[in-house]
Amino acid sequence: MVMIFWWVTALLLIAALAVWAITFWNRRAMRRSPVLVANSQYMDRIPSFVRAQRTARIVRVLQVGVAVLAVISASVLSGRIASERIETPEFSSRDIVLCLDVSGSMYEYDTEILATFAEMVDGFEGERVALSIFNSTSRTVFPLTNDYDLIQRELEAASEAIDFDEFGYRLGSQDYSDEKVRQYVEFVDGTRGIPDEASVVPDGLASCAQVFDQAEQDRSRSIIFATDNEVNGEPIFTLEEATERVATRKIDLYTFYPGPYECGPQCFEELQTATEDQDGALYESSDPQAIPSIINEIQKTQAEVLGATPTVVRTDHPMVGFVLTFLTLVGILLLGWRAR
Amino acid sequence: MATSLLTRVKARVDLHTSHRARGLIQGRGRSLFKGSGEDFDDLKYYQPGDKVSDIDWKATARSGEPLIRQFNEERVRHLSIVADTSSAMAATAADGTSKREAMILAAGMVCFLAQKNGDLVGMVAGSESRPIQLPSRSSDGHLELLLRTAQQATTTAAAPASSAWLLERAFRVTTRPTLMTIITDEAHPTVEDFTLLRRLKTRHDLIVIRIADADPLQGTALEHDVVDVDSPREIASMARTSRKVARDVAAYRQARRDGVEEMLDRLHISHMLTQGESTVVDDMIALLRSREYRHARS
Repeated sequence: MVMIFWWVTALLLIAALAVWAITFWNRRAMRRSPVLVANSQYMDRIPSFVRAQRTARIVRVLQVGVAVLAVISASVLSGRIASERIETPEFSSRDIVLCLDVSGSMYEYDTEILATFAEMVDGFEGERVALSIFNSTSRTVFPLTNDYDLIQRELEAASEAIDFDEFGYRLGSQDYSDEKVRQYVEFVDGTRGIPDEASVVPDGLASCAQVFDQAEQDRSRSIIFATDNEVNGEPIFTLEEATERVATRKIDLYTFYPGPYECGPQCFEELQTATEDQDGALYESSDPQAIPSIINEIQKTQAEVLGATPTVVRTDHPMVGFVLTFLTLVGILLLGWRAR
Repeated sequence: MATSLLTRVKARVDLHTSHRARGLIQGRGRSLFKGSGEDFDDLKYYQPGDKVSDIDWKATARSGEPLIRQFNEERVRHLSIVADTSSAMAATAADGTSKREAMILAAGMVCFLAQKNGDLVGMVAGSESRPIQLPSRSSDGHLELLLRTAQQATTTAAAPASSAWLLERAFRVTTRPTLMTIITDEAHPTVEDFTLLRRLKTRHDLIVIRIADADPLQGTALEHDVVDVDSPREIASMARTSRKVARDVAAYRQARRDGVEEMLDRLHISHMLTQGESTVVDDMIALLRSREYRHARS
């Protein structure tokens, strides 16, 4: 909440104070030549007179109060109270594909990414989001869409479903309800099309690149790609080939790497090289809690890439000030008429 | 103020006096103040040195010899004025004029009649902290001083009205029986002053001239504030315009007036209530005429 013309408010209040001060200092001078009367002390013993005097005093106090309120509310109204929102209009032509590795090692990070995006959906206006998950094969949970109700619902459900420690469950160290297990199995269903293979990362990325439609339209396209790059199987593409395909389609790649699991540093180096060769950005953090800030970072980077100048959008909130001013003016008129 | 107060009073009296009332003023005001010291006793033969104006022409015509009127007591009468010079008298009278000016006019009229007769006029006024007392004299200068003293003492800064003190004071300092004119306002003398007035009545012939106060609400003149000289307080327009308040205030004032008038009637004191400067001369003439008839009957 800000006041756009706060100086108008300040000026009006100062002017009101000045007017009050001037009349206060000159109140003697403004006194109309009084009629001197005598022997009127008895009036204090006449109940109707005492009552009328008391009523008049109450009305006067009310008048002063209402007048002060009127001045304040009118000043505040002229100050234009507004809420400010920073918007980057170019963002509305973005397409974002969340491309998540749902192998057992990644579940914590996936949960966090999905939850963060579910929260961000509220601020979206025109952006389209898709969710694609892969393990040995790839599954599109939902395609690019701007149906934010659906996106939010799906993302929340997904973040809940993926929050499942599969290894722990298999080893018996983690126990989940049947309902939870069913959710998880349903969610990852279709990502294990090839037996005895897991995390076929390059193929997963390549199929994420297929999710983009409207190729003829001038839209910004980006993939948020989360993987530990520990491939267990025979990919059709190499990672280099996959990132090249992404790059040729003018898709920005934002890779998130949570740290090594079983594979050594060569997995990370491969991912880094493949990403950065195609002008992608790579973020690394083994802390799932860092994901919201990383996604923020991605948003910022994208704003720069798009040349989106964030503009301040102000929305006036004149309702309270207007109603108050109106009511106090009505009050002044009514009281003035009553005290006539 | 170039002209003297007495001259101005004379002008006002002449202006106000109708043809019907003119006889009261003329003829040396003889008929106006018929008192105990004025009783006609005898006629005697004119001696050189007697005032020609004292000749009783009717008796002279009947007898063929110049006869003059003879009074058994001293001819000179003592008048006294008890003037309420409190702050209340500096306020506005019922007709919108100043109560002070009405008082000066009333006192001036007494002085004017006294001057015609060569009567002595004294005055008691002031307050406990600033008592005023002027001895009985008859000179024009004294009468002028008397009026001027009363006028100057009556300011809004003067002490509040205390009729009890004033009447007590008048009783103590005026030892000789006088024709005493008490000039005050509608709220005085109060019913509590009954005993004082009765005691004063045993010694003096009393006339009470009361000047009515302006309406303290002034409901039709809202452009002016109303201020009580003794208790300045703001009276809200709401109270001033309320019909109920106006009715209650009028009822209270009427009751107060009735109380004072009833008391004065019980004491057989001549009294009048006048609206202010514009009516005081006419009202005084009417009062003095009614006194004349009363004396004539008794």
